Amino acid sequence: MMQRKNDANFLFVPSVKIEKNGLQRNIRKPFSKEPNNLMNVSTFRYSGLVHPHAIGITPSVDKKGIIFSYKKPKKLYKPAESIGRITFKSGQKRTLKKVKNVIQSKKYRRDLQQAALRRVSAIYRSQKTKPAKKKGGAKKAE
Amino acid sequence: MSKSAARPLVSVYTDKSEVIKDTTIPLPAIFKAPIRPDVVNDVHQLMRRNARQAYAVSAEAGHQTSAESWGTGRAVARIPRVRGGGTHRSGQGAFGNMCRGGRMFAPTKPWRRWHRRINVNLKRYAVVSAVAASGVPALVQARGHIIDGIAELPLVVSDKVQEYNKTKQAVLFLRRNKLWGDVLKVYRSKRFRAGRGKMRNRRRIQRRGPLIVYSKDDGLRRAFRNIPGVDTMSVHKLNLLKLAPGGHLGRLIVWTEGAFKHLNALFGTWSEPSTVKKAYNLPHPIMSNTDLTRLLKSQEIKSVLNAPKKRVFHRVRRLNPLKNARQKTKLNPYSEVTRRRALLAKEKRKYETQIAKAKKKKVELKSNHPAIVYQKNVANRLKLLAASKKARQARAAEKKKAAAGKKATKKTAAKKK
Repeated sequence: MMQRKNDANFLFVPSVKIEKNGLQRNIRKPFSKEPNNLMNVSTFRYSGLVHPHAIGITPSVDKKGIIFSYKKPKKLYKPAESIGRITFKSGQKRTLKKVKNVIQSKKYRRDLQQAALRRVSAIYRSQKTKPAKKKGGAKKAE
Repeated sequence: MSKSAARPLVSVYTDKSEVIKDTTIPLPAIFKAPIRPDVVNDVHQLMRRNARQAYAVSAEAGHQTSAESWGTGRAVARIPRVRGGGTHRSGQGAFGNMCRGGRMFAPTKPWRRWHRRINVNLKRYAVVSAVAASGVPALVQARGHIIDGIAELPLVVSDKVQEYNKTKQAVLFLRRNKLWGDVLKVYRSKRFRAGRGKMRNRRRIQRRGPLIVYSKDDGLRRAFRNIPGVDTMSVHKLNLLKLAPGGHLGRLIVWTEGAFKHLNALFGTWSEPSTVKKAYNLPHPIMSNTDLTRLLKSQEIKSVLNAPKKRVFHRVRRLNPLKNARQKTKLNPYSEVTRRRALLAKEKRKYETQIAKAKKKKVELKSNHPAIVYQKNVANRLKLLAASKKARQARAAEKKKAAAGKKATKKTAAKKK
């Protein structure tokens, strides 16, 4: 779906300004704020609104794991029931395998598989606690 | 979204968001009408002009002087200048758009064409499209409404809502039907307008919330009017400016049962014309099947396409063959040989000169000096080569003998026979 001027998509973000290492970067990629979008990018494949099937992966509330949400095409017109959620709390490796299994066994948007797994990994990476900084090497007794 | 698709049944919900049993209404045909964002946007723009108030500059502005040009020969520009004396104003330029205090270029007139007439059919097309779009959850979400908890789309609610007369009831209704999230969004979006509109009585702006469409107002309008963002509308007077605010499709609409049922009579179904609008029927879609995914996968289209090009051609960095040995070998395989030979010759030369120098100076090199080691290795290598050559020749000779012997026995065997 090309983004036309008239189209009301208030979830469309034309570019994102980021400051990294003191440098302002203007990333001009068609980003999106849609809920079930694995790459947060406004394209046909990854759009959460356009397809009756869509996958969304978000960190779970207790910051230990992810919530895998999927759209139920039969409940498309019943927004309250239209999204199913599965919570995965096990470690990263297990969760990755489980997510892959869900996608493969249900044949649910297998074209999103890689993106889904990457997002899972990214979330787990963000949930890891940083190791405490080691105190600067053992100083010799003076 | 094709008119041949079966008409699903829509449930009616109580004000407490429970399904009313045994009341299902078949989806009115209008929800299957073509959704035309271009038509809606155009008509919306035209309709918006109809509420304008005229503005114009005063008719005499800039002309309330009796200025006259001084003509040439006075070392000043030739624009009309104010007559008389005794003030700053005298002698100043007047009348021109470039003059201070002059009239503007093309003074705005109140008889500018402020309003637009829109073809009735076009207006109706836009309204139909807007209503159809309100039944598509993706479009409503894309427009920014919060529909996560809503029971069904289009949302039809019992006629009891029309009898509300207290805002309290209205709020409770919105909360129970999970429409309050959208209203909260309106609260959070309240802000001051950017720009001069602030000082022109358009100070505050906010988002649009849900729209309630009713068939009979028994208090509903007054109950909902104080809730920010919520609009109410009679189904008999559908307004595109509210159905598609900003020209954007997909407003969140709550229908009362009576209003919903009236839609078929209002706009007709394709098989029957409208009973209310004179000789009107719903617009016909140009495409019967608008499901893009189905189309792209269909046999009719696939059979005409070329095979997909799945092989990805990455840009390969160009390496300089004069500097990069591998790249050179790619172009000239023999260069490897030349290079190796050159390296070996260099090595040989190096050690030979070292030995010659040592001889000349009559210095004895140690046995672990690299030049001596090299010499030894060379001698050893020659020895090994000679030995292996000998061995090869011996093996070859034996093979010959054995072959000759076999032949001889064969011959004798044949002879014997």
